[in-house]
Amino acid sequence: MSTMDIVPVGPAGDRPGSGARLREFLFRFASPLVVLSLLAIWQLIAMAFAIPVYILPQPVNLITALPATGRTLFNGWAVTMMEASAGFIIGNVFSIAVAFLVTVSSTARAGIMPVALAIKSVPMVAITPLITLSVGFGHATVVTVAALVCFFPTLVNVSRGLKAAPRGAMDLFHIIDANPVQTFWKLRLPYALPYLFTALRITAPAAFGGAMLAEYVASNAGLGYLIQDGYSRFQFILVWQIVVLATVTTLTAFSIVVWFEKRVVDSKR
Amino acid sequence: MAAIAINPKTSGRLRSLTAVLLVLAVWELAARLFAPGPTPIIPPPTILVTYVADHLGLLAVVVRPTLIEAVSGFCIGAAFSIVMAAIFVRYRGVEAALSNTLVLIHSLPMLAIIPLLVIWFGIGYTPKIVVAALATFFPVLNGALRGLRSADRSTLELMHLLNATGMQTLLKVRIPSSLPYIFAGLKIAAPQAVLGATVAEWIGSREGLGSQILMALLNYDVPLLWACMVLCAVMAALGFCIIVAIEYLVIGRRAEPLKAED
Repeated sequence: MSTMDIVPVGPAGDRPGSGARLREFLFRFASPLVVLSLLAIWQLIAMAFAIPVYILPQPVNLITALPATGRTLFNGWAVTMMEASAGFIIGNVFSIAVAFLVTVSSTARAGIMPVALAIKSVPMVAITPLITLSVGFGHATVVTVAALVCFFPTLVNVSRGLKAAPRGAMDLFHIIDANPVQTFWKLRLPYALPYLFTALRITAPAAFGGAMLAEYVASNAGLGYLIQDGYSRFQFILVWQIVVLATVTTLTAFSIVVWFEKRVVDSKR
Repeated sequence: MAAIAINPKTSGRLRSLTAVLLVLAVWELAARLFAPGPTPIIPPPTILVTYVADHLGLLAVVVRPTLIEAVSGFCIGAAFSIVMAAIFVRYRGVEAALSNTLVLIHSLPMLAIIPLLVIWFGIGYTPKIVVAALATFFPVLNGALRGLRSADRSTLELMHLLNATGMQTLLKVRIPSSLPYIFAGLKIAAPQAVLGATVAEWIGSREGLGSQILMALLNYDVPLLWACMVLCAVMAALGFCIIVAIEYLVIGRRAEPLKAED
């Protein structure tokens, strides 16, 4: 979702008239209506054609099965959430530190940035097996993968952002003899915030998805493991519930970042 | 260095190259000094290269399915997303109606989709192609949307004055001006398609790089695991380079679009 270009859609050219209000209503509610009607169509098709549960369960069944699977779901979700959050924090802190290094040292920049730019768009989850080899099966691998997922997008964006401070302000800091650390905290970082949030919008959902993928290969706890386990034991309702839960979680993570972005970045302006 | 006048770009490249060589050298030395056993977890680069050279036949068999899946998924995903972007730009109501659904689909974790695709389409090429196509779809859609909207306002007004049809405006103005943005999207998407296909092969597959990687992990065949990872990375990088080459052929050395990153 991070790459989706969601252009605010409003009624084209507010012409006063009877059609305008209806059009505005349709534009605002079209999306939820489409999602809701998709759900309804899904439910109807699954019922009408008596589709077996392993191909397409009914949405209603996913809800009615919640009391039975709720505890398993929550425990798995909590594990994945912990791992993803730990990785998210470690990856971002580490990459902001490297971004600072890259900003102050041109040698570090020449050595690190080409590699970082090349690796940025490579989903780090693909190297999960290698990480498993080096740090072992379990939480360590999952956290490492989640941290790596966050590291490169944040590094590339923040290092660009750290250079976004206006020339005049930089000169002023130079004149008042601010040291690099002061310049970083008081000047460069505030100007880098919009860039940081661009990265976080990508990495917050990606950390969760990456953690799940790593769990599938190299863990015996968490939602990723539960998907694998649920399939091998033909618990298709559970698997579908996980799909929905994971989607809701990544969407929520994205929305939380956007919410913070609005608060923080707008208040700076 | 200082004695010879080197322009900054070349010197930057030199330093990057030095950095890469340095990393390789340190890797080689460290691997040989600290983990000399027969199967070190991190084998030195020279051993990897000789391993790949010795097992070219096997690796070719492993790479073939992944290559087919990634390339077909990429083409399908790119074609779909460009057509969809054109529809979105032409009919804004369609975008209003579909954008949330698309965001929903994009935020489905890959791991969540793949098992379902395996159930629906079996363990053949199809689920992997779908994953590669999905991985391609969103970056290219994003680029194409921005690109089609980037058309110069006064040119659009001129087309309007000339009484051009929507299709003419699309073909003569919007598509040409959108090309740099579309290529930026394709450049992001090409490695993603390779990696989507590879990860899709982790689940319900008996051939291809992905399943071979898992197999190697389970059998503790470290050199094979590394060789597969390196091949995966090489394929992703090659995909990127091919798009860059095509971009150069199509639009030449025109300026890159601003802010076509994330």
